[in-house]
Amino acid sequence: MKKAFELGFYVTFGAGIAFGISSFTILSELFKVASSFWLVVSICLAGFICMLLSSSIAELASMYPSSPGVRTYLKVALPPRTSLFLVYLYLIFMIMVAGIESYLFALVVRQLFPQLPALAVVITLLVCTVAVNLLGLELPRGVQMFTTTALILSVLFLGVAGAAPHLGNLHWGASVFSGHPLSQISDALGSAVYLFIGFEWVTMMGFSAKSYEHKIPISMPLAILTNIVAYCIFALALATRMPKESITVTAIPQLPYFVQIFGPRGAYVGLALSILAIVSCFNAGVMGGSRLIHALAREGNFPKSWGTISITTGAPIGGVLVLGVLATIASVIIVSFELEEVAAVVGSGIVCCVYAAFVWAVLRLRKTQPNARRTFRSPLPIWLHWILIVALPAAGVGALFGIKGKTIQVLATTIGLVVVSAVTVFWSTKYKSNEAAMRLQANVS
Amino acid sequence: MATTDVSAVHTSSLLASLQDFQNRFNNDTRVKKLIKGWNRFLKVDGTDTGEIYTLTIQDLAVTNIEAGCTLADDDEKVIALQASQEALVRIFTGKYNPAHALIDGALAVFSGERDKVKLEAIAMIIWGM
Repeated sequence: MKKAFELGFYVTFGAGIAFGISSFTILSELFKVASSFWLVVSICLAGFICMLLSSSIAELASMYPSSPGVRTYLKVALPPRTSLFLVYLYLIFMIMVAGIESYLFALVVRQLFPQLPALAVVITLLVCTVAVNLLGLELPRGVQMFTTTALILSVLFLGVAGAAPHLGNLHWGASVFSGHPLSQISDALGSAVYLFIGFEWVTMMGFSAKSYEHKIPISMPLAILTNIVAYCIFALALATRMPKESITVTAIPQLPYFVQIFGPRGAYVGLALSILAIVSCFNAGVMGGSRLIHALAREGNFPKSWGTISITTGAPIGGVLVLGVLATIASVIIVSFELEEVAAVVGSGIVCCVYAAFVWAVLRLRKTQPNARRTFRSPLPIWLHWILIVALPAAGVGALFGIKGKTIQVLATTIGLVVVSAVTVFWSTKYKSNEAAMRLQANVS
Repeated sequence: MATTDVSAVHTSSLLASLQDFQNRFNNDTRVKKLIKGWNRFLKVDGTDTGEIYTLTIQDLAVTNIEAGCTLADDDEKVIALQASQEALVRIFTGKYNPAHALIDGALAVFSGERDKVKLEAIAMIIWGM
């Protein structure tokens, strides 16, 4: 029973972090570049790639169980500046997700309460989340499992119920092979990877060292598989019930879908699902970014104050406040310029590169530390690792060109973020050496 | 490259370092403020030597250090620390920041997220890291 609970927790944690409100936005994006058939193929392919990738991450996790994942894996395997650069890009991605998720939540809320300004909803959500985290309140494991299970079962049930009577609307026949299928897949694949991002955060949650031998390695593909099924069914449900133009015109296609099924009350269903997604994805996943900021500050890469801990609750208040401020700035920018699509696509591109770096880290560590303890070893052949190292960034680049008409905006944002990350690496390195010099001077005097 | 810093340590043994930690822990008033209502078992596991100790934290103090551990690893009251013996000695004598050890991959901590931060806060208070 205990073992089943443990595995269930890992699977729901991984699936829940990946399943946010922005997942529906990405589904809407995918409809812009692919037909329903190739969209489903792209989701399955992206999920399959993430499953392969999860075996590499499981190997890293078995070497460094319970460590702050992305930071440790890249730090031990890659040159210092390269690893820091990728970690900062990952952190920027998390901040952007906070902005996207809160903006989309505001859009859903405004469907019911149009008089509320979007920015006020966004800021209220962020302030509440930051306050909960500052107080050191942690979501119990059981609640985390419940919210994710409720979210995914609801999506599955509502998807099947909506799609089943209208499957004839799909028109899947020989015609699906016309219209450049390869081009559709290449445009959709990188964005589809976004749908699974976050599954790897489970590697920090292991109950014991033994968990990293089988349970965590198994839980990641199971979480991805769960989400593949949920996304595909919901995508098909959208395709059967709504014309393509109605899906792609909105960032929250789930709302018109529910309204079509339930009438005006459907908006409440949309809000309920959004709240479930916020609990499982936003709080556990995005605020996990505060722990990354805390770890980087404790390591000396950020100002010491960013690593402040509350003496009464033990909460990492420095990291939470910094993340809260940065997420608010990201939200304001996203709300003001309606950049949610651009941010999601750029984020997807970034994470594809970070994921490729994980696979590269596995190969480098096998070379540099061949005898290090590994309680799990990725069964993938070496050539497949190399294919992933090439294919993931390629999919990421493909995603950048996926939104027609916004390529300039996407590329400008990507270049801007790369520059910000590089400058932060330079600043961190300088800050770290200054701190070390000051400590040395203090010790001497 | 890995920056695990576990150079030669002059402290006698893991047990001695844990006893030193117990003294500092029990005599620090700021630590007591931090651990109000926080009763835990700290399982310290030297992965290379197989040496295991369990520290009982109860009523604002480390009340007991005993060899071995009879508690289940997935018990929510158990915080399990795993590292090489040398790294553990350095951590419990304040020579190796546990936050750095965790990031370096030299230390594994199995517990709730808040417990991890609390342990780090204790190290910050005791050794000013």
